[in-house]
Amino acid sequence: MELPFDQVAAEKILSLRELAGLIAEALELGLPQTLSVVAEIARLNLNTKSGHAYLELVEKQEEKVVAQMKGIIWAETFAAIRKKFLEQAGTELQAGLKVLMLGRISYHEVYGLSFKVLDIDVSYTLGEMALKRRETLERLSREGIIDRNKSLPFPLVPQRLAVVTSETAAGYGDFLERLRSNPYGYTFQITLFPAYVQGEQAEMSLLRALSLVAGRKNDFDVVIFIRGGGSQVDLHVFDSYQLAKEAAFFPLPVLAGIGHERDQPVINHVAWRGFITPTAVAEFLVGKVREFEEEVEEAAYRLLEGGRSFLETSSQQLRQLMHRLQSAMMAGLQSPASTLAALQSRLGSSFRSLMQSGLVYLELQKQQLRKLPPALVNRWKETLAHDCRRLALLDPVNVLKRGYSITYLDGQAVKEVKVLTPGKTVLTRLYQGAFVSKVSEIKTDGRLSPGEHTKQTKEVNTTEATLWKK
Amino acid sequence: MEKMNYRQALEELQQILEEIENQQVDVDVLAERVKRAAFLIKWCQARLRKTETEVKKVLAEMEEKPDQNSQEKE
Repeated sequence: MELPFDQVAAEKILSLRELAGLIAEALELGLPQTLSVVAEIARLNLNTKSGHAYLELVEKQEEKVVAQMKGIIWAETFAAIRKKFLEQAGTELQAGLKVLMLGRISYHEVYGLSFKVLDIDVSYTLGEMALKRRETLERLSREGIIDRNKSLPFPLVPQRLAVVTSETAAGYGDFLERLRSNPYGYTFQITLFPAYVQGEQAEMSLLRALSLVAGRKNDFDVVIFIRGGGSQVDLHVFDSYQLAKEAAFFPLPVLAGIGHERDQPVINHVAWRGFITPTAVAEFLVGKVREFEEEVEEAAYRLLEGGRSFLETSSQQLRQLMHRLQSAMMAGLQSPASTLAALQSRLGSSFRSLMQSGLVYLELQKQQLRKLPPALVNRWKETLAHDCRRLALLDPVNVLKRGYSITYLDGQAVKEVKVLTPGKTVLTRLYQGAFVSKVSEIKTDGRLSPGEHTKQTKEVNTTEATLWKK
Repeated sequence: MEKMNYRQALEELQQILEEIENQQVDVDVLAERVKRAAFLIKWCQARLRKTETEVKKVLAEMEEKPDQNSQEKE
């Protein structure tokens, strides 16, 4: 290849410094004194000694850098801009912000080209953020993922909480306190997944924390983003499209308590539910648990009522049984003795079941009574006492009182004559006292006619009767 | 301890209630069903308020009780 020197003789030879001087002159002549430039601050290094701020300015298109230039803000200017930024945006001038700057191009023989910043328009940055937020929201709607997390079923009792925030984040302490001091004494298992909630690394850090939660999704009921207070700029990370998308597709319901009084950040819109403050999230959680317990309390109440009416019905059935027994006896004692025995045994087993249910029910009532209003308690106590008295009336002892007796052989009630043989000793229990007798004759025909009545008593003749005192 | 979650507990509880309220259970089973329902209620309320170890302790105590009851009945 032929090099240019071979063809064109150099007319004038410049030193490097002279070249730099030419460039500086050309730039000064060719460009306006001041320029308004929009760029994103990719890096901001503050020289703490001199107070000068050194910037890396970039322009991005779809996350790719398409232009890049150094920027500088001299100490005095930087102090003024910083103050203005704090006042109007509530935060530090920092990397990641898109800014509208007024400045001029300067060329230095040693340091090269840079943009010297003379002023920054804060409202542009704020407007840009609001615009970007709107655009992100529109994009999420368009892609159909903005309501995706909202379609998940919410857990019946949100008790195991994965919290993504910084331990020192504003509002996190209030959130914990509100959960701990809930008036019902519910406990919450809170696991913190630490993340930066502002600054350059915040987005990456939040995404990483979220993916850690995803890895343990079975350990949690919900995931919660917390960040109290803060300026629009501070909360800007919660407008991130990437974070919003991850949250939308998260397998657990996402709650967000990102505090900003005016506009809610994108994550609040994407979440299962967004709240203005972290404490509002805590109150929502306590409320959800309370809703569940109310259902349980309702069940306890219905159990008492249901059990009561059940026992009421059962004792009514028992009373009917008693009536049938009585009318059977009234019918001239003509029904077969076996029917009587069957009735008696049915009566006995029903009575036992009823007593057993009554006992469990009583125990349950005792446990629940403490929690219920006194008026209700008294009403129940009365009806219960009434039930108990009525149940007592049905005790077999009261049957004996009417002149019936029970005959035992080896401790078993004798229901059929075939278990007896002449010579066996039986015990007969009366309402008061009992006696032992020896069987002298068996009548297999169980019919008991009034005429035979006296004969029967003779046949089961009492020999060597021993009277037992009850 | 049996593995159970709130949803299962509530569903079982509601089923028992329905049975009792419709008087579908036999009086002999009533005691058992009421006891089970009481257990479920207590289980939920204990778990809402205690840490896991505490819940286990509470439930262990509750499991001892029915045994005593059945001994008393015998």
